[in-house]
Amino acid sequence: MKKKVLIIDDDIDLVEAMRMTLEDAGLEVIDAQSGDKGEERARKEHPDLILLDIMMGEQDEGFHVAYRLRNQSETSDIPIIMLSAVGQETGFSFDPQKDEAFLPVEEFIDKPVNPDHLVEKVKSHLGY
Amino acid sequence: MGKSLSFSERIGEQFTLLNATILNSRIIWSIRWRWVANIGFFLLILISRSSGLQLDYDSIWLTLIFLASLNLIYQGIYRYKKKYTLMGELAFISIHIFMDILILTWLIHLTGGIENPLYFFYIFHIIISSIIFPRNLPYVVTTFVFVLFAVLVWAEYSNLIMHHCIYKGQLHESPVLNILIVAIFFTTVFLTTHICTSFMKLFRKSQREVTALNKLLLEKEKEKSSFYRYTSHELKAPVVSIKTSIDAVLAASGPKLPEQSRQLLKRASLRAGQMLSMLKELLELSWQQSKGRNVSSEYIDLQEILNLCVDLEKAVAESRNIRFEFITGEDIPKVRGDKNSLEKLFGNLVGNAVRYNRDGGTVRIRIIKKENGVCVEISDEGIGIAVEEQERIFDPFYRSAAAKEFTPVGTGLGLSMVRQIVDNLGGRIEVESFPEKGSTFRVCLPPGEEK
Repeated sequence: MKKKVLIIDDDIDLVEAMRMTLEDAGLEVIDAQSGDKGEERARKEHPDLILLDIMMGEQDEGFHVAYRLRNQSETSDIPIIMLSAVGQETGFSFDPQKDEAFLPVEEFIDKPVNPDHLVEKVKSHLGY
Repeated sequence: MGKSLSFSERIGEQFTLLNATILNSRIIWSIRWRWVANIGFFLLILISRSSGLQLDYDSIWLTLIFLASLNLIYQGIYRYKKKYTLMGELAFISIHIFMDILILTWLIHLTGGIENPLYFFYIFHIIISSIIFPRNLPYVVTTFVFVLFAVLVWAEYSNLIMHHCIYKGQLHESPVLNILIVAIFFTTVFLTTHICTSFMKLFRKSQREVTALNKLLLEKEKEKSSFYRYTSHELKAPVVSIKTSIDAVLAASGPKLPEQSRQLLKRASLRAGQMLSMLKELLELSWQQSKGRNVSSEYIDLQEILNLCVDLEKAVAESRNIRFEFITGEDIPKVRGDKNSLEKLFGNLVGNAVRYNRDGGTVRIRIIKKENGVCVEISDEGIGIAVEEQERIFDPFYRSAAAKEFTPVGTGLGLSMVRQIVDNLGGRIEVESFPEKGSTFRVCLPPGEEK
């Protein structure tokens, strides 16, 4: 059975591009364009992995979504990869070593992420 | 002015140079000068005594001993006082000035009254009080000085108190001279007070304006940096989306596309990537600019930072047979700064030294301890920079002709950021370069601590 990846990102073009790459790699992709919808889909459809954008609507909505996903029993075991378009240049940097302590996600990836890299990261967290 | 401030805070806010710390430092200063005055007077009296001048020396000695003991008490209070407040310091310094004026008047009386030009010394107290006391309070002090002096002169003139002669001229008996001196004294002290207080009023007013402007500036800076954060997302998001889409297409159906189309898409992806790195550097530069100079509490070992920068460039350097030479002295002091900025600073310089070096060249890094800080020299044996371009390479988006010819890729923002970071750290940067021979960039930073 195909593994299911949920992409939560408000940029529909980006979602479609990543969908293409991931489907090509043999994965099933579902998506949500907001944090709320993403949480709902995660609860209902229980994907095997979540790709979560940090900046949607509100500046740091992704963080709140990640917290809530982690604190609900239905979704707490789903691995999360966070995508961020702002690197450290705005002083808004994320240090996985440090930040994972208070934000328990599996990984941070800087956007844009090239297709091979994306597939590699996703598969490694899916246990391929 | 805020309503929630206490009375003394309100005074302090209105009158710069009027706060407990400044007053406190003025007090120790006034104690020191009082010792100088005391010793000076003592020597002067010794001289006048040996020259046979007839004065009431017992009273003079007694007065000087009194002044010395008083100063000793002041010093004791100053040393053992733990807490000090604005009002407390103001009261303390008022007592100093009041006592000084009384003692000075008494000494003038003992040493010849109007015959002794010692009364010039009142000016010191008048100037100090005009600087320190708020509003028109200095006029009270000046009036006190004037009245005291006028009464002394009048009392000596009318023989109410004894006059100690230092000249044979019996000058104190001349009504014209008495009136003249008192009138000139009056003009001098009040004019001095007027000049000082009006200047201080002006000074305080401009200080208040500067403070207000500074506050406004800080607010604007904050707005600016939040603007950059917002822009970073807004500008980057579409480009990220473009690049991701092109890359996805290339990865999924690249082999199926005609060669020409595939090449075009690859170039589009490359250009989007370049735009992203330019945006990234532009935002980094703006971030550093908006951050401004702020003293970081981190002490950083430059050797560590440089090792890290060299490690990052190792792969590229090895592929082009470029080697690193590291020279460092002993006892290199740490510098104050934030690690992130220092890594960016030296990462850029080391990166450039590798990038613009000749194949098989050497990158020399020297850390030198200087009297007033640490200098880092990074030299390459590469393309160099023409003399007329050396000034401009730090300008945003500027790339030297040789650099452009050498590689078309580059934002022209790296060195602008380097300079901004050096400025933020309170250091300076110099470049020395010869075309075709190589360049040396020297960054000097202030030391973070003694050792």
